[in-house]
Amino acid sequence: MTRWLATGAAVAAFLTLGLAPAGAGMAGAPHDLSGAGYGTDQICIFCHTPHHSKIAQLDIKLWNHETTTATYQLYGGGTTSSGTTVNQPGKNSKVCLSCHDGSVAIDSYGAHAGTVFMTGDKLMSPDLRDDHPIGVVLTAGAKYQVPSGGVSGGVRLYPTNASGNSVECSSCHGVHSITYANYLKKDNSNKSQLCLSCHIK
Amino acid sequence: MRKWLPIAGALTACLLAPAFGAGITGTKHDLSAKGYGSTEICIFCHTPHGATASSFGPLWNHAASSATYQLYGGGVTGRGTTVNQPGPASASCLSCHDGTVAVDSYGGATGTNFITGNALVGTDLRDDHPIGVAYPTTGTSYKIPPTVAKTYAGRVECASCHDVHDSTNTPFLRMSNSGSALCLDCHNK
Repeated sequence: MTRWLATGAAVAAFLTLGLAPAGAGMAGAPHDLSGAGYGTDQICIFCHTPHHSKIAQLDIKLWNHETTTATYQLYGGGTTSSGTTVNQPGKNSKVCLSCHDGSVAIDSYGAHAGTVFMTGDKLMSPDLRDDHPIGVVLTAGAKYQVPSGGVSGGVRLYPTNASGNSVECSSCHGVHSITYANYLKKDNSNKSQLCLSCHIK
Repeated sequence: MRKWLPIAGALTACLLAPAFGAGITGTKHDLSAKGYGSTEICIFCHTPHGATASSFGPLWNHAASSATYQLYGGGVTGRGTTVNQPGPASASCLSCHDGTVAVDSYGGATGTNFITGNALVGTDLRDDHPIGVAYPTTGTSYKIPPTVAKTYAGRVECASCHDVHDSTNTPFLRMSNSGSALCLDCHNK
């Protein structure tokens, strides 16, 4: 019996090591839907495909999820208190909102017609008036600074991380890494360092 | 001891299965029963004699595509890496799968049957994973080098992920993509 247990443990360890990707990891995190019964045991396929991507819907990273067509109610009715225009979300937000606005089923990917919609605390809805502005330009100056991220990660603006470009969902959230709660790109419980990446306070 | 044997046998079978795959016979790449002028299997791509000198593969026997492809990201990835026209380890596949050359154009004959459906990649590669793109040699975003996926002249090509001769893992993948394991063989996510 002892022998069997040891064998079982060794096999389990082998399989676990074999499957575990390097890094903070998609596997096992909330964005890993491979075990949700959504028609596949793959992880990436809900958002990305190596062939026949939905580039006509959204031109980003081999996109494979059905894309939201919602028109959003914007923060401040479309203008911040400092007079900056708030635009409809850009593609680095639409990728998120294609599940999180609740208008498209989570399991609508590829040719798979989904039926399961986002609920609860993670549902943003198309009413973004109660959310930090996205689709809004950050201009470096006395109040704001360009954060330090880039194509390999970190807090950043889109399409490039430069003054005059936009804050989007992906500015603060790294969809692939759950290192920090809520997929934040920095540990905001440490003196709001995520907020202070842009805000000079 | 007798108890151990079945376990060892099962483990061995499990570990060896991907290496000794099902082979090409009976797969979608076995065109011997298609009525394409031959009941052979290999002949559509290879010939023992009179082969075309080609970088596509040994003893090459299929007509080549002369297409110029629309490239992923318009020729540059999100990280700024150049995407080149497909190399030989892709162009060989695209000689059927871009839809410009008939599947049965082999051995000097001009065929009439073209790929259709999901297997048709086309000449517009903007909706496909980049090929003809250099695999990273530094950084932490990718596994360097990958364990199963292959590179050709340092680049990702069709054959990086696909093994044309073995359909054990549909569609001719080099390993099972359960849990996106093949994707994660390169991408650190």
